[in-house]
Formats: sequence, structure tokens, C-alpha cells
Amino acid sequence: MNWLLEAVDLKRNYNDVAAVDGVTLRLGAGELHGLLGPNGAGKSTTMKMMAGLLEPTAGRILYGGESLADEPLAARRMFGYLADQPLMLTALTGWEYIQFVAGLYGFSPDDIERRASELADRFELTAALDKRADGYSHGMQQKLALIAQLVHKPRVLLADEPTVGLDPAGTLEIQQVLREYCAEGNAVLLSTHLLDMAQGLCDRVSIMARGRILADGPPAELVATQGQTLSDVFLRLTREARV
Amino acid sequence: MTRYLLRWQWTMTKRQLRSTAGLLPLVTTALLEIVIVAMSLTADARDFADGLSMMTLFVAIYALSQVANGYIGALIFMSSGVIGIAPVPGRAKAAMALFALSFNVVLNAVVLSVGAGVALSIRYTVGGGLLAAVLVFFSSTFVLSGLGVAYSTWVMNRFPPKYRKAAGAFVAASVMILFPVRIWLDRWNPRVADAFGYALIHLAQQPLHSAGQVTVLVGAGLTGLALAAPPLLGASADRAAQITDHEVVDGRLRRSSSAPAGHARLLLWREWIAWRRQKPLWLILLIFPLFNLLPGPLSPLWTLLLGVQMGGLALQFGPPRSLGLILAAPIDPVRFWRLRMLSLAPFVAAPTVVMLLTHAVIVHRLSVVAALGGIALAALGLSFVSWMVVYFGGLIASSGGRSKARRPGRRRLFQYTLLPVISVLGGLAPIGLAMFNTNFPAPGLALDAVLLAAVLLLGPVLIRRKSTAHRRRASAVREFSAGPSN
Repeated sequence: MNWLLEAVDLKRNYNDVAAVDGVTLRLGAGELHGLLGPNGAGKSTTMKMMAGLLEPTAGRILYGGESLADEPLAARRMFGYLADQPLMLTALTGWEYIQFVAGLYGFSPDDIERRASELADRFELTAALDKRADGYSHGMQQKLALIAQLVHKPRVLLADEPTVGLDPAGTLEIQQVLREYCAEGNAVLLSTHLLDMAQGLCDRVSIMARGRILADGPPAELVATQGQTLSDVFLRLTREARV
Repeated sequence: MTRYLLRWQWTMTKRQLRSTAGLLPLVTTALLEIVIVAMSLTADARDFADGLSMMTLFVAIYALSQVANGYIGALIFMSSGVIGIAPVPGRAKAAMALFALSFNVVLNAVVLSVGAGVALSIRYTVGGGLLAAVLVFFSSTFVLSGLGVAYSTWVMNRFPPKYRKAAGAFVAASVMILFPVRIWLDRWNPRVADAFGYALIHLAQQPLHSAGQVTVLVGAGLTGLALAAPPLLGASADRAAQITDHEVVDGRLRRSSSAPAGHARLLLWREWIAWRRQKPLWLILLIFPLFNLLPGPLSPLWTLLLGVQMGGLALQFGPPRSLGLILAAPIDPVRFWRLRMLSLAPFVAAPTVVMLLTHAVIVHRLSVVAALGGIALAALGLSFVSWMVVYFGGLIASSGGRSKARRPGRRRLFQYTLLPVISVLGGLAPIGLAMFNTNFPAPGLALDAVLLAAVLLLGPVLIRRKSTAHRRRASAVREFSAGPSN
């Protein structure tokens, strides 16, 4: 199978402590993959390695077959990264921010205007696009960052807790947008603490603790084989990993 | 409760002093000390008095702005967030704020007074140098701290609550006015401008005659401080007891401009927007031509420092974590470095040209070679520092945390030994280069051109080599991870 994202045996040590210890993840076209785990499980470290912001101690990362280490530019064109805290730039308005990020990936304002306007309407952000984005609330910044990462048409979206700080309507809208985005043949790796959301939204989930993947599969399958709900499975596995 | 807060403040201060940002002010003061000591060996009496006065004024301004700014910052910290909402008496919070800033100031004062004392001891008498050191220490610590706290409290009480965060910047900027005052004084009557330097020299020459006067001065200073401290602490305690609302949100509607196509124009476009909307940045550029007012020929050091400052902005796009946006984007590091230099170049070129023109037309005659030297040094500062920032700043993946994370011992060694040495040398190198340019304009210009060419030619090679080394290591890691293949 041609994977859009393939991370094999990823490891990352901090002062001899393994934050990520042999994580392997493969995402195919149209897949929405949930990455679950308690605080300190290594989810964000895994995401940062996949975004090329942290160098793995070992392992390899490929986007559409292009190695992030060997062909960084080709690989970086393939993905978008939505950090757990929005990565804002000083002084730019919302619309200028979207244009700037798109420009980094070689897109002109004309290329992205229709898609950006459509997404801004859906997230009820249109009226704020001509205000400085560094003055937005956390939720508005998160929505803006998502729009900016989607308009440059990445094949894979790495979304690190994208719904933190969002109102219920915004949370539902993001889920809808991510689902539609996957339906277009792209893939999303979604890190989240919202187990109900993961159960309802994701095609597959990986449960992490102490830098390792403890279980991996479609939520329904995990529930059927290991517990009554995804929360039960999650709590049992992560508790066992702590012992 | 005061002791409890002070204990925690002490823990935080220790950690801050172990950081680069905490060490840098000390390194700067040590650099000044070296200059003073070197001056004591070479300069004549008038220049030595002038140098001592300038250095003391520099440290006074530096300490005053540091105290005022730090005190306001500490007070805001104490009156907002987790400490602000805690049921802690205002007096304990104020004590914590005072402790936070006094420690660093005292350390700086010790370094300066020792520097001045050693310089005066070498040139005059050991006893005199010692006495001068005591005077410098007390004047730079207690009097300035008292003034700094009093001034900041006064300013804080006059600023509307939501702008109190900006009060620190206002205080620091307003203190800078002492520089032009000193320059004006030096032109009006050099003897008056250098009075403090002459007083220190007099003290060092005749310590026995001056010992009584110094004791009275120090005693008066301490008494004044003792009298001023309780009401100041009271005022600070009142201020610390109030919760500070310092959130400033710019909700104005603006006309978003259209981004141009191409990375070069895109970066320039963003830079221009950031400068247009951040007024304090313009202040720096407006202050820059004021160096023309300094007596004597124009020093190319100022244009070099401007280039250095702008080069330091190479990876600044917002808060530090926003850099992730650039790092994750598909841009070749060498190309990024070149484009970033281009986008920052207008902000170096415009003030450099304005400075050189005003100097040539209004202040002093300026030769073409000297003007070209100034421009070359600005370009050198921009290119070299922006290269350093790109090379070491994380744009190339191999500079990520791996090596640091694996070798904490080496990182500590770098932080405590090599970093201060590099900082001192880094501070002295531009001064040396600028002096060479001033004294030997034509060879200086040639040297600048050679250095600039070296940076522009070797910079890309070194960046590429680092990127390739990273890829090679990644391949090795991959082969190792895959294990033996059959």
C-alpha cells in the first residue's frame, strides 16, 4: 500500500529518558487516525518529530514515500502542522497570516482566496480577518491556524489537540472539516484527549503511554475485543502501563 | 510569608543567573571593566577622566533602566497571575519584587566597582583605587536603586492600568535622555561633563585627604536610603496588593494587504507590515542618527551595530514558538538565509544612508572611503549575524535538541565557560574592527570587503554541509534501526 505518512520505529530520548520509544504509525489516503494518551505519553513529541521540528534519535519518517530526512523540501510540501498552541506571527491580520503561510508553500492569494473565505465563513471568522491575529482569543487563533494549514493543500494534516479552547460549535465544525478533508483522499493524524470524539470521528486510533503504542486499531474493534467503551480500554491500558 | 516568598525568589534568581539571558548583563559589565582597565594603561589624564565618566554614566543609565524596568515587571508579576490572586500581604510581594532586581544590580555594581578600582590602583595608588571602588559601588547600587524604584513607582501610579506593562519600556526609554544631556554637557563644558571622572582620579591620587569625604557621602547615601525605604516599600506594597489588568488587545479593523508572489517579496512584505505596526521599532531607527551628535569623527561602530541588531532578527517572526511555522515550511535553509538578508536589508540601508548623509551635510565632513566603510560594516554585521542565527538557530534539523539532549555536561560547559568568552570576544571584535576602520579607512574598507565576501561565499557552504551531515546521520540512524538485512 502507498502510505501518505509512514513513521517507522521512531525514538526520541531526552537525557537518557525515552520520551518516544519505537513508535510506528502508517496512515493511508482518507484515514483519520487518532493518537490518544495521557499527559506526558509522548504524543506531542511524536507530532513534532513528524513535523520536522525535532530530530528523532532513531527511526524514519516518510511522506508519500519521500523521506523527511533525505528530501526535506519534498516531504514538507506534503504536510501541514497544527500545533497544540497556535503559531501566531506578530502584527499580521488574520487574512495576511493565511496569505503568508500559503506563500511559504508557494501559493498566491488568488490560489487560496476561495477556499480560505469558505473556511472562514464556516468558522465564523470572516468579520475578524481584518483584525490583528495576535489579538485574537485562543479559540479564534486555533481556527485561523487550521485554515492557514488547510489552504496550502497538504496531503497529511498533523493536528495536535486542535479542539482545545474551542467552543462547542467550533469543535463540531472542526470535526466536520477534518472528516471532509479526509474524504478528499487526504489523511489526518489527530492527537486528542477527547475519547468520545475520537471514538466517533476516527477510522483508527493508537493509544500511547510512556512513549510506546499500547494498542492500535479501529475504535469499534478495540472496544469489541478489549472493553465496553473506548474510555474503558484507554484507562485500563494506560493504568497497566504505569505499573 | 515574606521569608517564604524570598526563598522561592532566590531559587528563581539562581536559575535565571544560570541562563544565557541572566549571564549576558554580567558579561557586558565585565567587558566594560576590561575597557576601563585597558584605558588606565594607555590614555592620558583627560581621556581617562572622560572614559571613567562615560563608563559610569553608561552603567548608571543601564542600572537605572534595569532597576526601573525590572521593578515594574516584578510588580506586575506579583500583582497578576498566581501570586496576584493569592492571599499574600502586599509588603511581602513588594519585598519579593525588590529582591528580584537588587541581586542582579548588586552583582553588576560589584563588577564595575572592581573594574574601576583596579584601573585606578594601577594608575595611581592601591588605597585610592579601593576607596574609589567603594564609592562607585555605593553610588551605582544604592542611590540608583533608590532612584529607579522611586521613579518607577511614580510612573506606575500615573499610567492607566491596561498600559502598566508598557511603563517599564517608557521608563527605560526616558532614562536614555541622559545620553544626549551628557553629549551636550561635554560640548558646553568638558570639565563639568567629566567631573565624576576627575573626582575619582582625585580620590585615587589623594586617598587620605578624601577618605573622610567618601565616608560622609556613603553615610549620607545610606541614611537617605534608610529614610526613603519605608515609604517606598509602603507605596510598592499598595501597588503590589492591587491586581493588575495588563491585557492589551488591538481589535482595530485594518485593511489587509495582498501578499506578493515569491518567497523574497513575501518575506519583505511581512517585514514591512511588522515594522509599520510596531511603533517601538521605529524609535530605534530614529535614535540611531542621534549618534551623529557624539563629538569627533563618525564611528563606523554604529553602522556595524545596526547591521548586527538587524541580523539578529533573522528568525524573529513573533513569539519564539511561532518559528515552528517557518521550520515546518518547505524552504531551503541557504535560500531562506539569503532571502531573509534581503528582506532585512532596507531596514539597515535606510538608517545607514540617513546617518551618513546627515553626518556629511550637517555635522562633519565625511570621506567617500569612510562612508563606504560604514556601509560595508553594516552589510557585514547583517550578513554575519543572520548567518549565525540561521546556522545555530534550529533552521537546519541537525541543530535540534538531539546533541544537546544527549550531552548535558557539554551544554553546561558551553554555557559557563565558552559562552561568556565568546560573548566578550564577540563584543570586542566589532569595536576592534570599527577602530581599525576609523584609523585606517582604506585598508579597513578592503578588510570589510574581504570579510563580507568570506561570509557570503562560505556561509552557504557551511549551511549546506550541516544539512548534508544531518542527512548522512539520518541515513546511518535508519540503517542502524533497520538492523542487519539478509
